[in-house]
Amino acid sequence: MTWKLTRRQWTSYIAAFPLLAQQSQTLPATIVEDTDQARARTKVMSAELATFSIPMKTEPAFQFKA
Amino acid sequence: MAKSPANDVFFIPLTELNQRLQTKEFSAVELTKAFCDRLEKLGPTYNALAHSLRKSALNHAKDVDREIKRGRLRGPLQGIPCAVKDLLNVAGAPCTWGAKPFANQKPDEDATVIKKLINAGAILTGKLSMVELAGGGGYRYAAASLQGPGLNPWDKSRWSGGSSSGPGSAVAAGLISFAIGSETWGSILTPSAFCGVTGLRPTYGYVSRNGAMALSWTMDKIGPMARSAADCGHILQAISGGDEEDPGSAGKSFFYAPQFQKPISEMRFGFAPSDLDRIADEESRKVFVSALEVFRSLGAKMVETELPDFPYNAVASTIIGAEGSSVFEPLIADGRIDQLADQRQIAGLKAGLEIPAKDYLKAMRIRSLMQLALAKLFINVDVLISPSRFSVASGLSEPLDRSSLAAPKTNQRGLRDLGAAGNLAGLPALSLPCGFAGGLPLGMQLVSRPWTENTILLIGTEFQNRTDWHKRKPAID
Repeated sequence: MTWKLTRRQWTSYIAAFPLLAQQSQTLPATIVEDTDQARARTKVMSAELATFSIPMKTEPAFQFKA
Repeated sequence: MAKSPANDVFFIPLTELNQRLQTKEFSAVELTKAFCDRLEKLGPTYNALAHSLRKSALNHAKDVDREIKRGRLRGPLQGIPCAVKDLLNVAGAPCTWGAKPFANQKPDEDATVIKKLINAGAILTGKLSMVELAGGGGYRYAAASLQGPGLNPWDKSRWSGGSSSGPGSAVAAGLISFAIGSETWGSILTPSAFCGVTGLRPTYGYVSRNGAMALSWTMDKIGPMARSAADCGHILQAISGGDEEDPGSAGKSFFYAPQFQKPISEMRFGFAPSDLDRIADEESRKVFVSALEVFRSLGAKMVETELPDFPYNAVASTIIGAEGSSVFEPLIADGRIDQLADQRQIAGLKAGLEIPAKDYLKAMRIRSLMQLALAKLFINVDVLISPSRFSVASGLSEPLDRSSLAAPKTNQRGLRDLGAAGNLAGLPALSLPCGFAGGLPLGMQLVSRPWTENTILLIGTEFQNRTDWHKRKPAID
């Protein structure tokens, strides 16, 4: 459960940011632009999750209970 | 002989309304008619009304009057007019989910929550508008709804919040005594804060989602929006309980009994001073500082705290994105998704189908750790206190993903991600009106460990005994 990054994780994380930087300039005019931005957001989230190291034994919160 | 209810009935606590019904100051039919008239007349002016249920409401009210006459008393909700977000099934009535592709949908069975409300004697007067598909794809404009943008009763040029927009407006404007909303990530707390009403997000699993639109199976919750913390307690008691039709049901019932909680003077309230740095507007900051002083005056020990270090927003976005797009995959596949009002929402739902399994699994694994870490945090504090939203309601035409009211960035984590964290861990939360900035309401949220709603309801009631923000009424047209 640490934020220690591998070189590959750093690369993917940094590569995702220009996608977000592009979208912050203007509002998308078309559905295609909006879809591109939605995909970019997914990639940024993916990169952020990739930087988070967790123990192998940690199972997904399926059968979620509070 | 009973007389017609006076105008004050639209804004009084449900326990008082119930008392006045029992003393026959007015009948349930008269009360229901008065609320139906008001909901039908004013509901559309706030884009709050999805569908009136006047006929069935008046029929039910007649039954309630007969019961009260016979001394068959069902509790504080008996005879109380209410309405529900338009994602809960009511047999034979339209259930649009706020979205054009479902404009003609008519379920033939009541949701479990509806059955429980009726069983408690509550009178269902209507269905209330919402952001289309509860906004699961991420929407840009307040107008992302079949009924149009939710208009805030405090200022109709402002949004009422989402996705429970209609419940927020309708309770604030006194169109109903209380409403049932739902929250996946902020959909009860946001409109409650923006509209100046009290909203309770129950622990995940307390209230059955059977007969409700699904957005995220592991994060959807249903809860009350009402005039006070006490009202929320009575409503939750009526709608909670196990349900084998809901796989997420915890099989637990809630009993509203704040009197059996430990004294507030023995509690520890966790707060983060850095949260105040996230508030752009000085007037709003003063409101939250004053509210914290009221909490301090309750006698609890105030403890500076912050959330454990996790990527809360990425985890919540990934889980809701993947589950929501899976829920609506048929809508995306047959192209009806393009009928939605908000372009960003369409794009978001489509993109959600492309979230890799590895990301969903990673998010769910991080969520497991998050739950453990938050459980540890609650060893040291009884509740966490933070602004429900860091600003007042945004303007109607303002892009929600680029709001001018966006919070300033700070490096300190504080409790800024409490919304995502609380929803991911299934924690209960109560939003309390705590003041006004620029004539618009602000809300403070209390979050506690699972199944401790009585704790936050006790604190909320004590806060509301010392303040009158929850009693303020907007000027109604």
